[in-house]
Amino acid sequence: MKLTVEHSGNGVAIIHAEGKLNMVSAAQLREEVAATVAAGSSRLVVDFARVDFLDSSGLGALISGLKAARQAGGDLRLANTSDQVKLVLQLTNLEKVLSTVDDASTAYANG
Amino acid sequence: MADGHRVFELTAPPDDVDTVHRMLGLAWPDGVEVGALDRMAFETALVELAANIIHHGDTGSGVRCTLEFAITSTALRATLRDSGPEVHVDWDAVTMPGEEAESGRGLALIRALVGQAEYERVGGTNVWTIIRPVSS
Repeated sequence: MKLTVEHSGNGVAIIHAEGKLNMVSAAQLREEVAATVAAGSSRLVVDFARVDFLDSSGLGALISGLKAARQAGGDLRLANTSDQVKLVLQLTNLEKVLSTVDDASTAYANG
Repeated sequence: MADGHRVFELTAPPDDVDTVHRMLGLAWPDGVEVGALDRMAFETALVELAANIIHHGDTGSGVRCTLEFAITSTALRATLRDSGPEVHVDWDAVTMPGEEAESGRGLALIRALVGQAEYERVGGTNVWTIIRPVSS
């Protein structure tokens, strides 16, 4: 999985992910989120525009990241999720806790 | 091969769930058209199941797994046979963990994705079957 972090000010970081978020790549995302939070950005958006698959290992990494972000006073939100990602979030009852926004750049426009 | 029947084998390591995604790309027979939701749900369940086998089946010397697909326009079916140690699965007792959990959702997600999920131990082999009937 390819991950690119874009800092957009006010402690907001957009992590653009590309590939499949599964058992192979979950640890990589977990580490990237932890490093981004440690570096001072706790309001995170994971951009799923180029992610075509999410499984329960990937969910584990997102929950880990959400906890790290909240501990630092921030949050972790998702943008541009595919139907497959929405299905997995819905069936695991995580669609509220991992909130999805339409546009990564305005994910924190309202706080 | 006719009638939507395909068989693949993996050995992990070096194979991993990315290998399973590649197999899925080859498992789909020509001419079988099902709804996007059915295909998505079945493929997600299959990858979850394979990930579970790869994660728990390898006790130090790797795990071998045969993936047998029977995909038709009325049902999507996969049977996975692996060399891992015997496991105890009570599908009726599987529940989705709470939102704070970082693991443990795999089997519950599989159950939610397919109509039928079965496990049995047959002669030293774990046999897993998932079936998603195609929505009419």
